[in-house]
Amino acid sequence: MTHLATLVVALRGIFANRLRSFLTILGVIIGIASVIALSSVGEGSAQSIEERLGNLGSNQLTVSPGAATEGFKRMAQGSAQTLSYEDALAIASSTEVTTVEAVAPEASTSAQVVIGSENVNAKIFGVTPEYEEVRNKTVAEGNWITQDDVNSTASVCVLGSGAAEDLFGDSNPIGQTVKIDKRPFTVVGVMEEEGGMMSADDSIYVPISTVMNRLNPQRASDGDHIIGSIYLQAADGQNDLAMSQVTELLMDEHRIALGDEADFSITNLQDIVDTFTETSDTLSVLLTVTAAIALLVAGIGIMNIMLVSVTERTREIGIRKAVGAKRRNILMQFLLEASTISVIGGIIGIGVGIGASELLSGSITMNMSTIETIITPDTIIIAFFVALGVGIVSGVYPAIRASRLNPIDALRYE
Amino acid sequence: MIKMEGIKKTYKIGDIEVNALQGLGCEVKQGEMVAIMGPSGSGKSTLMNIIGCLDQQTSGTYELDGVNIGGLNDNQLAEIRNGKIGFVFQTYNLLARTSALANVELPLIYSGVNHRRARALAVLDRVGLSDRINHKPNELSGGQQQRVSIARALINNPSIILADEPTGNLDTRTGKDIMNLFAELNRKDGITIVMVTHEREIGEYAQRIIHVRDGVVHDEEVLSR
Repeated sequence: MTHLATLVVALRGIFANRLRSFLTILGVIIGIASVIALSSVGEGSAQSIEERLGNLGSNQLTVSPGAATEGFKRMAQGSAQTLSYEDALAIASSTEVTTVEAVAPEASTSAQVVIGSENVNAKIFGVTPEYEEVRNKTVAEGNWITQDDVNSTASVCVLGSGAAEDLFGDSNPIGQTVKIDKRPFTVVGVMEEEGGMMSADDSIYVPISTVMNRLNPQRASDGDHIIGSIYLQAADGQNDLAMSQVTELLMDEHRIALGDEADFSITNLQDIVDTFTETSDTLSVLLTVTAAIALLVAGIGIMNIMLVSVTERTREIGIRKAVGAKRRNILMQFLLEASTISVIGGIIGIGVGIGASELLSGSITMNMSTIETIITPDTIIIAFFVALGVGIVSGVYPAIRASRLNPIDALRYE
Repeated sequence: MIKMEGIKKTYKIGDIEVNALQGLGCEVKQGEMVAIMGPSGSGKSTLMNIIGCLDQQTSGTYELDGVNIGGLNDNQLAEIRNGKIGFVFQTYNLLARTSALANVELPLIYSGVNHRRARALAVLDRVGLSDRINHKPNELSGGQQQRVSIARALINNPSIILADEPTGNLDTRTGKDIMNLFAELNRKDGITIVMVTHEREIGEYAQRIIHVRDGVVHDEEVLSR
């Protein structure tokens, strides 16, 4: 018996019972479509986390001031003024701290920025040369803040891409003068666009000394310069050691006894990345399991219909056997019928799934940003073979039952 | 053509053994038209099933066309049914929702023949149904359905046509037409025909009647024409 003839026989079986076949196929369509759509959401969320957090650098540690207390009320973490520029210098120069490769203190303030008739309120960050590397910043045009700028408390600034566009539109800002808090600053550079969550595109960078001495001078009681945070770049794989070394040093600097509560905290960016990734992985697993259940139900549907079909067509099987069909012919017929149903359902389901994924794209919000769904070729290939597999697995038992029917009994079956 | 000796067939229904055939022997020659007659429970249906290779004897020997059927497995039996035997049933046993043409082509599918249509058309013409090839069984009369099933039986040029009460569901007139077709196939085309019937009138179309009773051949009569 030729394969083509078997396929034709199987297709006839499917078309003989259109509604029933359609409903069975529908089950597979829903199963496969949900696999495609849900896995595209999972894939998309994983990718967006990677995009948004990957550029922050996973060796980065952030030292933040502790929480201020007002009476008995404890304020938010970072609200106290306990970090100083001198702390940053101490970390950089310490011989105890061996696992920190770069130190980037940051003093921030906000100020009115004016050029001609344009007037915006911008976040101003006082930074050092190291900041560019530690925080993975990239200058698009011009230069970053230099050590000379810091030493001379220069009135220069680097604009974030958004700030540059707001203030200058399409014209080139380099060499132009802007007024920050009524003081003239020369623009020496423009940043590349970052985009995504935690974007600093609207920020303006100036030398840290300029913020500490001119724009927002704040002194601690011992005369130290108060700053907002210190970013550290740890040596590869040394996050934990760097954390404990810096903690020890700062406890000592701040004269806090070991065991007492520190007035600062150190966070590890990798921990945050891990948490997001974990959330996204859990989501992916849940989505996959949901889709797998839908497919399982579809498989049960196919098996159910095939069993009914075998019983209903007992006589047909008897006739086929009487005129010379062998066991394997009958087996193939029913197996092909089940797999054809699931492959048709699979192909339509892949189409529906791609459509559903397009619709979902951009409409789901997670971690404060929308998810663009992603369908990989792998997903489609896997979905196709899963559909085929579901058809074969759920078709095998009914097909074996059909092939084992005794022709005499089958012919007498009413 | 058919040579049977000491055929026994024992069924087990629960704990009870039923001896349907008890050492039956008979012979059918090439080109003969034979009727098997007997009351119900005589074992004639069991005998038909064994001749048709749908079932196998418990003991005894059965030779069809020089092939010893006793030692064959499922697949080999299927091949014999496909190539050497044409079945005609009382209830026609055509595939529902399937055209006359496709029904007739069915045995060819299982013998791996690719150009089925021409052969199917030829046998449908032979049984006088060339104007009904696309009709489905439920659109055909009983007599026409039986002609389709005869066409199906003929398609593989079988050594023998087995007809099990071929006129049982037909009125007398149509029954006669069908029997005339069998007689013609036997006379003109030299096809061996073995039929089971309990109607004497139908049996008389044959050249010989084998009377079966209690699982053995009780009597044989040769009809002179």
